[in-house]
Amino acid sequence: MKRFLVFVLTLFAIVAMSSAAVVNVVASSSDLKAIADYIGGNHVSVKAIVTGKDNPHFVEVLPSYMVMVSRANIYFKLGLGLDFWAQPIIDGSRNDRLVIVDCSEGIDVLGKPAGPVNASMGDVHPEGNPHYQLDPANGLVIARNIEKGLAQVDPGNAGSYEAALKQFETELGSKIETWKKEAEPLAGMEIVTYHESWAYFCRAFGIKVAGFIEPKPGIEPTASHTAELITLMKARGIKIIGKEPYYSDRAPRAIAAATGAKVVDLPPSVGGAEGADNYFSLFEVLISRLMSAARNEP
Amino acid sequence: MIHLFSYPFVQLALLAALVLAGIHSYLGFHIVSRGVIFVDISIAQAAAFGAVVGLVWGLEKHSWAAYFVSLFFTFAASVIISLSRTRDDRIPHEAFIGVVYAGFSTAALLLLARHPGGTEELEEMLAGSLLTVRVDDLVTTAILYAAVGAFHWFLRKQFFRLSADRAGAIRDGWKVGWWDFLFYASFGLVVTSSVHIAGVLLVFSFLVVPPVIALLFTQKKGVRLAVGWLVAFAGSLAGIAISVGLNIPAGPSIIASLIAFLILSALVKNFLSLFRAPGADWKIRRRI
Repeated sequence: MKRFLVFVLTLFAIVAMSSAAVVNVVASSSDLKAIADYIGGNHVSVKAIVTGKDNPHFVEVLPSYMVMVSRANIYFKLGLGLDFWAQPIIDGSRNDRLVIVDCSEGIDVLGKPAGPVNASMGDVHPEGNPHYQLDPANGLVIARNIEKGLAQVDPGNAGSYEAALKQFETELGSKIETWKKEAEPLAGMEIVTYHESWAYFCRAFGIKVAGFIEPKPGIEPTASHTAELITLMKARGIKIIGKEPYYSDRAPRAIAAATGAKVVDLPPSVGGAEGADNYFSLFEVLISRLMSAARNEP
Repeated sequence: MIHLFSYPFVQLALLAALVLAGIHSYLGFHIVSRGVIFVDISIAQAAAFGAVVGLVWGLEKHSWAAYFVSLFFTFAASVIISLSRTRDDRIPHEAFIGVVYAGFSTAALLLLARHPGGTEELEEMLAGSLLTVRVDDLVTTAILYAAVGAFHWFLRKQFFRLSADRAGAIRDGWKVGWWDFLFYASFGLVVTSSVHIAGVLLVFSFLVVPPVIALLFTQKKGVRLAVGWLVAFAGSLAGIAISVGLNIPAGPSIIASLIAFLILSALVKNFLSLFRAPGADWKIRRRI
């Protein structure tokens, strides 16, 4: 009997230890989750608040988010004002031991407004364009921030995180080379996008964004702006309209019909389209969709 | 399920719901007795429009400045509604009340069309954000409600008489206009702050559903109030539990629970009258 008790207690201890050993991670977006999964491997359990199909600009706070964060050891924020909704979730979770890491640290930020920002300019982020995950080179900056955070909350496995970061760096480096070669025909091409989320992506691959379907960031399409955009697209012969999956396709389709352009669904985040299930395949999907649209394939 | 109530954010949301339930089912008692149902959703909508104006002006949410901007529109709506009560019976007063509602809703739509994230703000205007309520907001709200509650306690005789027997009060020479003003002013103070936390729909439901359920079963003033509070508290508890259990927004869950209670009560009431009906029927037949 005694032996049996000791056995059960040891079993409990092992289970408790092994579950305590897993670092509970919550990330604002699926991209941060994808990279955290890569760096953390089986030492971490990562949950994301925004999936690839949701609009990261606004999040309806659900009970499960607070529960998630209250159990977490570390929170990875997107930063640059995009996930402002994370703060009430973090406050509401009342998690005193939570370590918060801003993954935008060290990013070379684009589109930082020169003067003061007000609501009449639309949803302009005063800290600059927050869609930085779409330049694959920034993936490495994110990965470094994540590695640093994980090593801080789980120093026992710091070596494993460091090794994963090195591997991520090598893999990403070689993939970026391949992608740039593949996307060479896209360089110099002009496209129109729905929201200003593609600045980093287009800089990385030499694509030019000639205009946006939104008259101002975050504002729904208006009649006069749509008319101007149609004129512009006709004049410059722009054939591609990039749209994030969470925006309505009514305006893009109407503009496409008027200009003979094609609407291409571009997932801005991991999980936003079939096949884009990790940070690397996200770029493979984006490039292949743009390439086939540029070649005018159905 | 129960363990979820150990989370501070759930406790805070429940506390906020209970505080709102307390004052609203009391005010709703008067609203329903006076039969001014549509007035209160119009006034709540005006408060919500005021919140939108504050947002567009860049005032911080839940700040005093935002509250007073919102309060201004609440009072403006009350003035419009009381002035539009014409002697001319050919134009029903309900028509003006409806126009006030549609007008403030449209104005909010138009303002938010040019505002980033307008759709999401509209949603919040209707459904509120109970789950992210902050402790200090809840404390100031509770103090305000307590003050309004005390005011109504001191003037309880007048307010209850006016709600129950308006014609009699006029006959006795009461200045009904002034009493109405005091009532709607205190009502406006409450609704303005509650719309910011709970949204138009929850405020409306808290005002109307509990007193109506009470009315289904009793006419006695004290019992009606007690049943109203009981229903409002039970609806809050059930709604928060459903919200946490099914992982859906809290405000709409409470509204759904309240309405489910109403449907259930109506069914029970009808079921009870089934047993009474044959007896009544029999009495009538005997008389024949």
